[in-house]
Amino acid sequence: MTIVKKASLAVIQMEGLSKYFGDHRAVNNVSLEVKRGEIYGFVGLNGAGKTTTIKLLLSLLKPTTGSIYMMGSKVESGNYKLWNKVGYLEEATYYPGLTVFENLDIARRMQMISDRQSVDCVVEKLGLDAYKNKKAQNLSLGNKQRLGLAKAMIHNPEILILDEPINGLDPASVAEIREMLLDLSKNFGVTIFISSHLLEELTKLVDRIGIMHHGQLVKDIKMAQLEQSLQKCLLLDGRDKSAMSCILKEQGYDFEETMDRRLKLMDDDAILQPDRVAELLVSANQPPTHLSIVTEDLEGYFLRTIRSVIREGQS
Amino acid sequence: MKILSFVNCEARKVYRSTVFWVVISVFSLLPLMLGFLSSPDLDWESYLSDLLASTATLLVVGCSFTSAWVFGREYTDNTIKDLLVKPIPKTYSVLSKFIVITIWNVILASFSFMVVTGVGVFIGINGGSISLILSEFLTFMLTAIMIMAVSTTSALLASVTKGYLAPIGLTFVIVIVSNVVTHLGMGTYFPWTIPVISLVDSISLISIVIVMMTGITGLVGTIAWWRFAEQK
Repeated sequence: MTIVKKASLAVIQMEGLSKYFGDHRAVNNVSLEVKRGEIYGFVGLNGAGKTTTIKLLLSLLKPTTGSIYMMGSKVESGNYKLWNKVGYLEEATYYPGLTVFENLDIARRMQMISDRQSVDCVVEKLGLDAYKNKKAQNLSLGNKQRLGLAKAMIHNPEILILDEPINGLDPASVAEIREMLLDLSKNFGVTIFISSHLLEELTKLVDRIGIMHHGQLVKDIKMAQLEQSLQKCLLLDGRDKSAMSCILKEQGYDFEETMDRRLKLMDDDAILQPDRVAELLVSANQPPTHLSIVTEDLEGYFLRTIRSVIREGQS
Repeated sequence: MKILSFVNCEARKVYRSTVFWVVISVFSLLPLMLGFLSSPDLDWESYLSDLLASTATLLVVGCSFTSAWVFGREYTDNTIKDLLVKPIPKTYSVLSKFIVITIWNVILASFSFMVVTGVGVFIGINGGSISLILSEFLTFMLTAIMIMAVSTTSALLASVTKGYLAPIGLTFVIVIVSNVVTHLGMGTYFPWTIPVISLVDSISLISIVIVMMTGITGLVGTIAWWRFAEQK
């Protein structure tokens, strides 16, 4: 029997979701909600539990505890009608001996779509017209990925679950796919749950981000909030960095040297009044050759979050 | 009618693959070779009896391979999730695969019989009649159906081991074990030797039950695996 929850804004709901493989807790008490039309980025290091969570979401695995609802309907192996509304792409999979059109026609039949035009529509949408009659095995990596996306979108799903969907795509295709996903989300209310290691790309796409570490959801933050949480620093370069370091140390500035041997000042004073730092160095006859305020990117935030979780775990 | 659409999908996956044509080639070449190596002095009854027994053994390997490949390739090509995350009962997916496997196997069996008969005509085997050849064809097809039944276990093994290598390996083990059990006089109790024995001898009800039970185990086991097992 399919369990249906009361109407909620959340299209995807995970409640206390855990999955154990023996003693190993692959997913540990994860609860999250994704609202209609939202793009949710799901990130984490390898082995963090992202793929297991996605498999649970697709009912390929059974949760040890907890439950998942999509559009109010419980995700479980018998509830196959749910997949009418869900599109999924893990990696570009295809039948190598069949053409792009044949692969998509199989996807159409498996989604029980009677309208044959749906194949042509999705071919056009994904820019696969030129490759329609080409065998899938002969496509470039980027076009294989497009084929995978076309299969995931052939039935105009309300939810798209994408695992590394832009891997292998050239920059132009990445931008194209990004625009298409944004259009689906903003104009058609499609909810997108996307897992990717390309953090820079995610920042251009997602509304909210979840960071997984050791099976736990350690951060679930809106992009607007995240932007406020990003750290800033003042980057300095000069001819004699050891002399510059002595001057800054004397004035009590907290700094560290970056990998490319620049000086990175984290003090609020320095960030708010970089002109004072410049003046100080000029007056000491050590004028900076470079001075800029740099905002941390998602990668920096992600690594900082993971490090703080590790530190908390150690203490 | 829905299932016919899925059968269409499965059929396309098979006949558009290289493997389909390679298997057909093997099933024409080997009976062809065996036919040409036979003595033209034989009569049709002895000729067909000898060659069909060898062809049936080849069919044991062939039917196991087709079952293993149709199910195993979904794991090897990583397309299994494309079948599992779909708004159709998993039983439909499994049944449509079994229907296509059966059609493929019937083609293989009929084709190899035609090759054997054609070579017999070519090398000038004597003493035959249409009714004799038809009767041998029916017996051979009954044997083929029994082989198809026991081959469902390869589909189960391919699903459990997530690929076609394990069931193909097991098929070769089965061929070796079949020789041993036949020499020990236990062939009528071993599912994979019963069909071949049925070609040359009558078999008991117990043997038929063994074949049926093996077939049901393979079929039901595969459906249950797709329906209930976790796909790690």
